[in-house]
Amino acid sequence: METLTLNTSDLKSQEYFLNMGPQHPATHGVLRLILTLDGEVVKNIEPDLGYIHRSIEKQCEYEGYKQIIHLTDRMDYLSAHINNEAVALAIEQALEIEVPERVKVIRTIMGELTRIASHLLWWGVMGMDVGALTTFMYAFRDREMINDIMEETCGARLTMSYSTPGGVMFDLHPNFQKRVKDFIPHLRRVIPQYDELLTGNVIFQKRMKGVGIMSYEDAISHGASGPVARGSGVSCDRRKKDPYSAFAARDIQFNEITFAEGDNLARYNVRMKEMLESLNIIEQLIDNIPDDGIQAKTKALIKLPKGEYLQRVETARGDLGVYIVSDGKKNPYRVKFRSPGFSNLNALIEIGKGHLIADLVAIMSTLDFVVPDIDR
Amino acid sequence: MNNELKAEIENQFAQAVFDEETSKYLIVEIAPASYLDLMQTLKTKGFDYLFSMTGMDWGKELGVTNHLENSQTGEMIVVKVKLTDREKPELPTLEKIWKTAHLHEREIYDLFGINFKGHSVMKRLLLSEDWEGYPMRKDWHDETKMIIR
Repeated sequence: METLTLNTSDLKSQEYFLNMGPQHPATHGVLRLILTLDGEVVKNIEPDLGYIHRSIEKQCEYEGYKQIIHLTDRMDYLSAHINNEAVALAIEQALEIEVPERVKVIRTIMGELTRIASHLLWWGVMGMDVGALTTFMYAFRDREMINDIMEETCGARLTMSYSTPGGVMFDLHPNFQKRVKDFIPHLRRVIPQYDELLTGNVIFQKRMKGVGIMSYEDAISHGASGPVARGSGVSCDRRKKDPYSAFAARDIQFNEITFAEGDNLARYNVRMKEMLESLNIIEQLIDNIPDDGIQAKTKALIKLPKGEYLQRVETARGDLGVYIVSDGKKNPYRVKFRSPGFSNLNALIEIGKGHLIADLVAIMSTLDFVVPDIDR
Repeated sequence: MNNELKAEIENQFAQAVFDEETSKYLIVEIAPASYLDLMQTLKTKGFDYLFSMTGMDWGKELGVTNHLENSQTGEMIVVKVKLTDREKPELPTLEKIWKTAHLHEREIYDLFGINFKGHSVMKRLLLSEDWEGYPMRKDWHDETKMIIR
């Protein structure tokens, strides 16, 4: 009988391409990454966007200013309220409208609730991405309480469209204060449970520590913002640097959370601590909401004076810029949404290189992408 | 408004045009030939955070509006560059100065058709590769009435 021999000199290895997404649970939406791989090591990442591109900027050029707000819910839908607020603030800035203090306080409370809800969803999915399925159930249980609060007052759970130019759409529901006050101690109680469940887990720590490091300089050069940049030690919180709404009207005490390490764990810790800071902010406001109306006077048809206006706010993902160029007509001439996710994706291209595919999934989780925010 | 910075730019770039009326930030308009020089100079002056690059169609000209921030002081400057050639608009890439320019320039190429010379991956980003035309331009014809009703 003949024996088979393997001639190893004929074997060769080469780099190959792999599509990660657009239909992939770890891309959190329809993001396609074209990976160049050497075995399981990522050599190059090329993002291919547009699977959920709705050309929101072009649509804005054909809509009135009041209508634009409704489109912004559909960008970063986990920061829907803060997106609405950003456009409302930009319009108010252009028209030089001073909104009632009640509006400012309501907007900030809603904004911080939105941030907590977004971070809760991120935490649940983050655990799931690295193989801890229970976190998702915990996070959704608690996030549900915020959604219920939103539903009562705004009439919607996700796409609120609650801010309007000059105010908010409806007044607070009578249950609002009680429900928020019930939620604050609840979340304070469960976050230590979260830490026990996931943060201190040895496997989780090993997946996080020292993986996906981004330096301080790189974070700025990539245009990263929000928890991603603060995880690299960059102080960039718009609520501190350029206060708006209640942050400008009231003296609110809160800490800007930064970690210098720049790895997955640093970005993770920033968001975990930010939830507690948001609770502090809400606590300082919830008991003294002034009663001076929910709407400043605006015209039925809004026309912005000729010029260009930029409003920046801190969404759950970072530095959102609404840039409106007006030629004085009822539609804007050009609207640009500088979304935080778009610039943060730029960082992934570099920090993902040299890691294993499984680590790339963990890095993507800590960058917290919402794809409609990137595609717009 | 930073008058010192304005004077410095005026000294170094004779053809720079300033606009202080329409915005709360200092707006500089620069000719395409000096664009890269000015941006490089601003980077060395501490403007290390390229906040955003906005593709623009001003009707006659195409171009880019850059929002630059000094991450230490929070000061912002707006740099506009206009191109009169609508057939073959070209600008140098800023990729080597700010890494964030990589994706922003790809988006502008995709939607406005401005070619950034020296860019590492000058391909369409949001639209499919066989898409014809540049939909964010004002003269784009919306045949299927997708957006313009």
